[in-house]
Amino acid sequence: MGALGPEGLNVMAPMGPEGLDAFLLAVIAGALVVVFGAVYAACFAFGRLFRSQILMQVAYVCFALLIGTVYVLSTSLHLEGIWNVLMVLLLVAYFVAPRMIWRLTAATHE
Amino acid sequence: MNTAKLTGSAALDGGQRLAVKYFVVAIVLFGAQILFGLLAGFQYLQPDFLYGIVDFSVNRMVHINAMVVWMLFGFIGSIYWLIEDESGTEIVGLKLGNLAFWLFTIAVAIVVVVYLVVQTGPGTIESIWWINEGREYIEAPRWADVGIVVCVLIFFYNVAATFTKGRWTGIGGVLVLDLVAVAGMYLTGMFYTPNLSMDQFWWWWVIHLWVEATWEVLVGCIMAWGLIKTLGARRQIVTTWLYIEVALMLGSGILGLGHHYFWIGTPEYWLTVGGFFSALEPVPLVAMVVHAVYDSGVHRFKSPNHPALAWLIAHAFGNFFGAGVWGFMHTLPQVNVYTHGTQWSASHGHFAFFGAYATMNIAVFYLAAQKWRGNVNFGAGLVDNGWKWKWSLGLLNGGVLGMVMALLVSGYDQVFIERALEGATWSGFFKAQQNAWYLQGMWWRQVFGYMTFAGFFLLVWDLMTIGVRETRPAVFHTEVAEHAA
Repeated sequence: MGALGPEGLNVMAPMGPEGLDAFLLAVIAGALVVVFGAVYAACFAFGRLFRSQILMQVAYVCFALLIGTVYVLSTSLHLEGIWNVLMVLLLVAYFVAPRMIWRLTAATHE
Repeated sequence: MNTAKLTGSAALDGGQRLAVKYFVVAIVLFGAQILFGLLAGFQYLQPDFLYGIVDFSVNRMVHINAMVVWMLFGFIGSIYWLIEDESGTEIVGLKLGNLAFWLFTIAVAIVVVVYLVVQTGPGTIESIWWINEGREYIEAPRWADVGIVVCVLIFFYNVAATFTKGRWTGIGGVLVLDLVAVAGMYLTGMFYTPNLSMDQFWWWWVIHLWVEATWEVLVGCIMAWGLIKTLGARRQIVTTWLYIEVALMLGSGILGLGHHYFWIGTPEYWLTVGGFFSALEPVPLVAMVVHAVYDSGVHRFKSPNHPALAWLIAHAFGNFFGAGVWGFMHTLPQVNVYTHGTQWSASHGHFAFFGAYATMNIAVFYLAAQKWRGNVNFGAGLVDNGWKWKWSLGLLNGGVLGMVMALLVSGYDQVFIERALEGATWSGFFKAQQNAWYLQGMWWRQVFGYMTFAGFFLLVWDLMTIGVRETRPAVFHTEVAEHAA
């Protein structure tokens, strides 16, 4: 495990070139997690609004990309144990939240 | 129909006249924030510039304090702006409100003068009370802290008493409860403890819970009222979402402050708690995308105030990217250990504060300007095609975004050299500061800072002139709905 692993948290040990690559990958993946989450949510909502199968499929492609970025985030940071549980929870939250909000929105607008 | 158009203060109710005073001071302080930011930014490039006259530490302090205070003035003004309309009655304690305004403004002026004139000397109990409390971002001396709390309590009394006299609404209820927290949270940054970890622990309550939680709810209340006014959104829907926001804040936002407890000497469980809840913080922002899509598709809203609507949209995007994307990028402790305290944090701070708060205040300024001009049309077909507001919107957002990206480059350079290669040593710090990428980032930050200042200049010019030659009355959708009913 490199300097980005749990034992590296309290001691800021110098990273080697591999650690630096992993770090860059991790922050890009972190940013993309939220971006893909939002694009998935937007496509999902537009798909429901216009009853478009294509948009729904684009939404699921975005969610697949979201799964990929979460995987990259987890592996580049060498996450273990509870941190991987957090990653799974994140995916569940990103998948479920737009559906719940859609239901809530539709219900409150009736 | 020939009705005389009321303009200027004659068009306003008591609360709104008081609000305009707050807005004027807020805009002056916004200008001060940018000016002192430019000076501090230039000192990164030319460290000798104004050395011994107005040092970097002072410029940075005034830059950040001006930001905190102009936003507070903007929020208080915004609440005074909406209070009579929302409560359905005249404001209670208008004289007291005016007194608090002058006390607050004079106190701010004195504090700034002291910042600029009394810069060095020993730190004593007396200096904490009269010169500088010594806590980053909230350096105001304790007498001014006490003054801020007194002014917020007067503000609380005015808001609570007015809603009690008039009608309680969902917005009013949330607002009053939040103001208790606005006054209370600030107290946590006022006591002295020799234990640095303990001091930082409570200090973050002000910086995170006061600024990021209680302010978020204030902004939520203003946004709720703003959506009703600019888009004719239904009150029931807006209020429901306001309750949801408060629930989310209590559910994940408060423990999300744990990401500030990673490296200040607090127990290790904060790594897990802070990382866990911070990671979940962007989920509500993503979920709200669904609501925005639903509303835009189902209601096809039109607004008679395009600048205000444009700034509300800028608020939604700025909040999402600045707080959500830029926040999650480095919120996990495995990443944050390398990024905290670098220009990376400054990049996130600039984006999030501008996106979440400055945009909202500017939107309300345009709502106020519209009423000041006699509720004329600020929508399509403005006399000068609205070039000033469009350019100021572009320059301010482009300038801030440019600064954000430039700071990110410098921040990454610091992470790379100072933290990753050199292991956060003192020599690593200086190596990073002298690196070409770091310096280029700081130069570009300065260039985009000038762009932001140009946007501010146009914004002020536009607020002073927009709608002056406009004669068409604005058609508000709430009015259309009421007439239809």
